[in-house]
Amino acid sequence: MPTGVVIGIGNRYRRDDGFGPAVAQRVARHQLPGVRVLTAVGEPTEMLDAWTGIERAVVIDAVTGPDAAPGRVRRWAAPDLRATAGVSSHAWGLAQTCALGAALGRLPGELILYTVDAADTGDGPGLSSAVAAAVPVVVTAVLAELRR
Amino acid sequence: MTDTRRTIAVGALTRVEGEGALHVQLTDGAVDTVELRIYEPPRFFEAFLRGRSYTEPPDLTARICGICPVAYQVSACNAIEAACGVSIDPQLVALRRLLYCGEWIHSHVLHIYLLHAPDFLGYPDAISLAKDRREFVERGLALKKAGNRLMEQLGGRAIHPINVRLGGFYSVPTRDELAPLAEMLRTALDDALYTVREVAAFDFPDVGVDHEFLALTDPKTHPDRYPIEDGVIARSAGSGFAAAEFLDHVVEVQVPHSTALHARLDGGRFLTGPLARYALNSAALSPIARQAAADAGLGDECRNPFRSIIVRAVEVVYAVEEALRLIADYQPPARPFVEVPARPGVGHGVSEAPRGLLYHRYRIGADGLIQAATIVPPTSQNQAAIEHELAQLVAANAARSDAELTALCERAIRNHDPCISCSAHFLTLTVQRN
Repeated sequence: MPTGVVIGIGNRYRRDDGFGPAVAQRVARHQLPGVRVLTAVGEPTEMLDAWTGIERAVVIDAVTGPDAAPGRVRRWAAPDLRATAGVSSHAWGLAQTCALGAALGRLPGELILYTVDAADTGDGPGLSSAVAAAVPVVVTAVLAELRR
Repeated sequence: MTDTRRTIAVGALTRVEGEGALHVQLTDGAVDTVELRIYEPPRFFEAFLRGRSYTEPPDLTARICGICPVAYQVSACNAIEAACGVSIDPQLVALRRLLYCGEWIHSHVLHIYLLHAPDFLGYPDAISLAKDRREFVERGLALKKAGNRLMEQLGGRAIHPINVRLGGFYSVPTRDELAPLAEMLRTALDDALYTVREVAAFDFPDVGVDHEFLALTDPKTHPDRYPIEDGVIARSAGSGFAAAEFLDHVVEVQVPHSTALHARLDGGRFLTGPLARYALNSAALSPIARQAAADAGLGDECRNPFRSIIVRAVEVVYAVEEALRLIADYQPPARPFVEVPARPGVGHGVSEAPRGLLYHRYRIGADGLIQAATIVPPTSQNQAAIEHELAQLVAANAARSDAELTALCERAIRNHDPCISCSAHFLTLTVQRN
């Protein structure tokens, strides 16, 4: 049973949305003992299964928003995530998954989220230069989280 | 006494797939208008398929829906293979059916547990339900996972499978690869039977609908097979028709308040989906699924849309059992796919998506390019029937407060698990009381 899990959320065929998988791929190369690294699309049961019973989960995702600064990296602890009222099943996101996990007693001991503000989530592979530059920064940060 | 005009408006429907709204207007307790407003922008799939290769619709149309991509893939394959005059090997049909069972399990269980059950148990959402009913939700999630695993194994991934192609699959599993799935499905069968027992104990409003039912059946060649990946079109009144005649009978019309087309069956109101499928095929269920239905109090047919949650649960039992049977009988096909050479002509394809009959039609040119595409998803077929049910429900409950009516209308819409994104070509509710 691994003690840590790294989950890169995203779709590498939607430009900067591929940030999570890009970070996960590089973290995996370090083959940290007791750490499982995977990529995910963010489907709730997939996330709950990945982190249930795990001491420390680090989730990496690209985000967009009205005041996005492309390439900006932010670290979030789980309590910062606020589940907004979901409208349709299509709007089910990480915050809702965390709320469901909390309701079911299926959250990891510690949940850390790294986000990067996306510049381009259009079709096709490849990260924008601002987001690509954030990859090594977040890889280093994730490795440090796992070695604490 | 002055006229009392009431408007009930829901600006964004919740716990549905996609985005829509509802507008209801009443004067002195009488219903003036009920409009299910689907405002997702049209997606122009039929238009951009024109000029693409005849091999592409299974992958492109799968993107119409993240919940039921296999339905789109299978109806597209059925239509194009028919146009090209190719029939595929029985083992490949069995694998298609197995993949489709995975989608039925995952889609129905998502709706039963996360979208629909909160209505019956008095919770605003699945998260608050999970806080109080942990075991119930956990068993639902485990069951949904069984469906996802089937889709991953056969489709390459759980969402938008990539292993389906015209004529079959890019690669097919070995018997050893399917063995762990059978083990998981045996546990899933217990969870599925548990689901039927749990949802059958819910309280249901006492309503009945008189829509005509439209669904696939296959009584001649497969009397003991519930329709999933193919079949012949049947209806509850009148005789059925071939897939090639679908557009002669099911006519779509644009209505001003929705980006989804409305449909009529020979000019009349009709319903497709679990209630229709069950009414026309309950005798074809497996013994365990039929017993579960009987124990849950379902007769040969069910005309109460609120009880559709039980029908879905019975269909999950069937899909799990059927998947177990298909795995037990599985012999790897000699070839993963049959060649489907392009041939100019028109092909029609149907299959039973979790939400009902899904029709595709393609016209292929001599150059192998798509000249015309028509896709009629179940949710757009059902819109007129849903609006009719809402009007009946509002009229019968006009004395209730706006808040109660709004909640009741939202429940009535969720009874049909509408996939707004598929149909737009979803719900904000407004009730206007005049």
